[in-house]
Amino acid sequence: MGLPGALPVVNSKVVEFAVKLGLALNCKLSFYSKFDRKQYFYPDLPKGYQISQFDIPIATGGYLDVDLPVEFGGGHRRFGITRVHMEEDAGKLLHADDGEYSQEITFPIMLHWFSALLTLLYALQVDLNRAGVPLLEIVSEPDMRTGIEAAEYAAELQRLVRYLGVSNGNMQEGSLRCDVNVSIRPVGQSKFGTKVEIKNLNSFSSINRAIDFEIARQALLYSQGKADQIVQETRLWEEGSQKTVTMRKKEGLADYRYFPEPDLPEVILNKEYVDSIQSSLPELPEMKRRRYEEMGLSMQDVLFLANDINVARFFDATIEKGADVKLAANWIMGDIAAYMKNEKLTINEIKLSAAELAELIASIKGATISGKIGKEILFELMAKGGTVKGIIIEKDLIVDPSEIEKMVDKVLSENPKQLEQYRGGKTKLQGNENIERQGKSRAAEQDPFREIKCEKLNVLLPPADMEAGTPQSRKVMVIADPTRESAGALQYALSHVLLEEDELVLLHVDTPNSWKNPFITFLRKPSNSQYTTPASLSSSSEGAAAPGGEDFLEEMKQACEVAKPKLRVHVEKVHTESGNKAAIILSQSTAHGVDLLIIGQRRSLSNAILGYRRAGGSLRGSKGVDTAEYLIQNSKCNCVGVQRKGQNAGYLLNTKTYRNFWLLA
Amino acid sequence: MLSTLHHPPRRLSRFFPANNKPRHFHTKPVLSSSQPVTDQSPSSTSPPESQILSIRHSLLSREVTATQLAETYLSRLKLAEPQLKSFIHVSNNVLKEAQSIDDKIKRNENVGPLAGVLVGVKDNICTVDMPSTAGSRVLENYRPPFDATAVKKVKEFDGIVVGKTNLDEFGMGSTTESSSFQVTANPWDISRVPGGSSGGSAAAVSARQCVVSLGSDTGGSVRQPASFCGVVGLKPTYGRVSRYGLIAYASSLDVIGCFGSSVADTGILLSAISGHDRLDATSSKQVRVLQISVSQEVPDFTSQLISAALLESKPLKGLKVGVIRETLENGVDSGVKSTVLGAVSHLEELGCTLSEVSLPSFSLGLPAYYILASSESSSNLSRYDGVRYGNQAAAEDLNALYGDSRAKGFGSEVKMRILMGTYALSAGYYDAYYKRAQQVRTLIQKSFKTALDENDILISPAAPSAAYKIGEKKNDPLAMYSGDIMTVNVNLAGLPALVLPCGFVEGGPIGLPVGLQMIGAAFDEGKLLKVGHIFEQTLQGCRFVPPLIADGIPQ
Repeated sequence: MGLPGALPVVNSKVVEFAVKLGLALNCKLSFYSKFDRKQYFYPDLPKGYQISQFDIPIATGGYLDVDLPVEFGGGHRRFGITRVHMEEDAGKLLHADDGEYSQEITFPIMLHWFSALLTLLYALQVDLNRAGVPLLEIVSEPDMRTGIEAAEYAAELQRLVRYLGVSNGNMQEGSLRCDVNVSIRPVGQSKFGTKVEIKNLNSFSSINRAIDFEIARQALLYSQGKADQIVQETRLWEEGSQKTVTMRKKEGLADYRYFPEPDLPEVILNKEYVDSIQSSLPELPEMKRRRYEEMGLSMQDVLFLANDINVARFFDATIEKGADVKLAANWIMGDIAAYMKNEKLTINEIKLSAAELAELIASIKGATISGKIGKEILFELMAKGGTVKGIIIEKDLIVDPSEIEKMVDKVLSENPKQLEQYRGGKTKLQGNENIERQGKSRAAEQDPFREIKCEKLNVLLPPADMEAGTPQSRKVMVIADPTRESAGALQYALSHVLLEEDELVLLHVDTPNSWKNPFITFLRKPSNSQYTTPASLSSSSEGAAAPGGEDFLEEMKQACEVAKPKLRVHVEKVHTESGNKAAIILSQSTAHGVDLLIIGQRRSLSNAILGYRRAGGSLRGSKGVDTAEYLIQNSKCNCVGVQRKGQNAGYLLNTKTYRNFWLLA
Repeated sequence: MLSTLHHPPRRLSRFFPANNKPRHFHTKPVLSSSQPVTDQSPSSTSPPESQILSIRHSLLSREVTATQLAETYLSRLKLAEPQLKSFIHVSNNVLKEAQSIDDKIKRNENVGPLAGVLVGVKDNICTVDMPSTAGSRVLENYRPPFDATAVKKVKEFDGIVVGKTNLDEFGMGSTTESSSFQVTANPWDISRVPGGSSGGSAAAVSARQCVVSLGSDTGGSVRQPASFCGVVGLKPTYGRVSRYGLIAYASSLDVIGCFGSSVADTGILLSAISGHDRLDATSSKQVRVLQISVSQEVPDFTSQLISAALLESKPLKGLKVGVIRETLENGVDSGVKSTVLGAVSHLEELGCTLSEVSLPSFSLGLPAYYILASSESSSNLSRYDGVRYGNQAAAEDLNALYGDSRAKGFGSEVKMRILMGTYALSAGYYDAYYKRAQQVRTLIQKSFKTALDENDILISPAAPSAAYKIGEKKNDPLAMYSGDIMTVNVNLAGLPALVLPCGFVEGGPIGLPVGLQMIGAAFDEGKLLKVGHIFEQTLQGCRFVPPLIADGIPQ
């Protein structure tokens, strides 16, 4: 409120948090720092100045390590931190739409303030509840080159503050806010171009999209010879239109008339204080990721587990109890994560304890119970709590392995046809399911059953390549169609995802109507001429012109061989009359045990970048979008929707967690 | 070095009109900290005694009730007010509060050390049940939702806030003429200014409209009016008293100070309001442990005061007193100079060892002060936008609302300082003005430190002249600013200083009082009060009761 005679007092917690954050960001701490007043006149600032730190911030010169998600090309980045400083928050201006006021007056003392403004300004309110609340500002070096990098940097900061317990980092509530500065420069130029500030970024995805929009906007002006129209200004990100618009132009540098804050003493740290905070720092996300990586987990697993400190703690506690690392990760990332998502619970809210999960994993591994029963027990534990042993006894779930063996023998002898197929190398054929289905007895659901069954099958007829592969290799499935989107998806997979030791499945689902819809005519358009590299890919799409022709699959396979000679590529064709392509792909991806599913996604550049509202089904070819969207949402493994943007403009990616990430080529 | 100080002229008696010729009393009433004094035979020329202690004694011995006392003061207040205009607001609750003290006494309950003591509070110090305007239209009728810490403590000790005293708008001025509401007169000569900015508080104590009062001192706003009005004024060490609730002028210089008609009263009031406050981050936790005071607590300054009866021939033997040479050079009124030199020789008689001290950076203090104070005030006053509190101009849009509310709300002196301060802080000028002023401030702090390492206290006049005529310097701000030369350095250094009347110069109906400034080391108020008390109790031939109320005042 800035009442006459009122004085500020430093909250000692904010100093502690600033030191914590400074240390966690590898900064140099100022053992002597001070507060300054930053003067400007604005309705959100009741005192007419903001208490901040100007020339001696509490921490300077650090860095933050970030692992980019696999689907965006992966990789490790280090972003420089310029400074961390303490300041007070300003009030919140509430711009009401259509002259309506939001009725969020919660603080009686503020009524006077509101009523004064209401009579004057018919679309503006100020919520002063957060005015004067301490905050920490972190300024980074201009080290990010794409929206994704910036968004991932911000996400890592969020993880960090959550790990440190400094903030809940919630962007929606404004506990974590982000302004970005974007400038472009020609390749080879070392001086940065004119920077443009963007405000109103309420999510990581809007950070990403706003930056990429702004890069595109500036690049367009640049290429049109209108570089002088890039001016130093503050722009606002409009979520509705997916655009940045001018908020205010800065005429030269604002004069904030900084001077030392006389109402607050200097902040003096001593070594003991800093040391005690240093020694109390928890394991930070970066340290956790490196540790998980050393355990042999894939980067995908590492990123998932380390993302949420509570999940990471749960995982750590589980393996501390002796659980197998990979199995624990799979359980947590699979059924437990799905349950948490469905029930909208956090890992701390579910009733399952880490010790019981470890017990469960041990019970399955030790063949006391089957995986399927284990799953049942898991859901019981998550919903109601209890112990694994308790539930096993209560439900009488242990069976005699010799009983099962007899049963398997019986089933095998009753199904000679499937046995024959299995002998032919179809290890994943539906027959297995049939066998299981036929043994519908209680015992048949037990995992020992499967093990005994497999054992028998293997002894009798060892198939060629059953469950082969090194632990580190991944199985990636690309949905192959004779379309530009599909070619783009494959190109992305080859350039950004696949490693030599990985395995690629090219799945083509042949649906009768898919060949009669506008896709075909689209393919014949001259726009195809833009496919120039790699040559094999362009020819593959040309070759697909004939309806029903499946030469493109061979072309695609060849393209893979050219790009990654050692890559193992399988081509899988499935024909369906039902037309439910998505369901087929889902079941195929599950059957193949695919780690990552990649599908071409159709949406034009103009839609994504120039801000047309997504109009759902009204888009031409929305069916293609729908399949990809459906898979992204429902696939058990990670699914990436890929859209190639022009020749060298990279890809626009969609996953369950990220929308419209523009991966630059 | 001492040659300049030898045998200063002491021809003070010529300033005294015949009808008020002082008589000398060598035996003084007993003043003791542990036991209230009984003043059996008040004399018009006896040295000032503690009103607070005598009130306490009268109340506890049931000689008089708090209500009777309050009525006496209120009637005198009302009588003098039309001429003096020292109060902006007088409390309606004085008698009610006095009654509750009487009730407590009747029930034999303990009463606080300020029980029944009427305290005037400068109007830039927030009081919850009274307006607090800082003398500005922009805060006209503003009633704060909280008491300043100093006021809260006064109330906790059963003091009665009698009203809010007049001041220069936001404390910016040295005459109390720049108050938006009224011009206060000097009780010694109502055609003269009472000094400022705490002119109302000084005049009220001088005219016995209240017992003691709170003021604020940013560049001399307690000490200069104390000097002009012939009362004791104390500017404590920066950080000794919480500034919470003091409407800020220049935060790094502002302190709340005390006025009293005796050193003892001033010390008792300081004891009551001092101490660390968690609401003021700049209030000090430091306690300078004094010989008698209890550690861990703010020293009881009055315990330092030695009864006048115990005065030996040389009660201040060995005390090293430095006379600041620069304060007795050109620009100081000759009458003031000779009166102060008289006080110097009085100190020598008391046993002090005198020496001359030079503070070469002294003259730099004035420009440095005006740059720093203006800079901070330009920032501190930016909150008065007419939106959340205070007077609001009717306007079409927000910017006009801001502009008009400030244009109509602030007086010209305030506007001038905001402009000066904004200019000094602007990009491109900061280094030349604000930064250099800060460097000067550091120099001044160092030179005071050196001087106080060698001396126990430093002395100077409190102002280069006695009270001047109302309107005399109104159109010459530089002349008014230069009147602060004696005091601003002390604020820049953050040191405590005591001003007490030491004599008279010619002027007004019966002469005008002159104040002596004693400057001590940081948190050494105890020593200042002790020296001041002995000085006051042994100063002969002076009675600092203004002619306005000279007749019929109960001592």
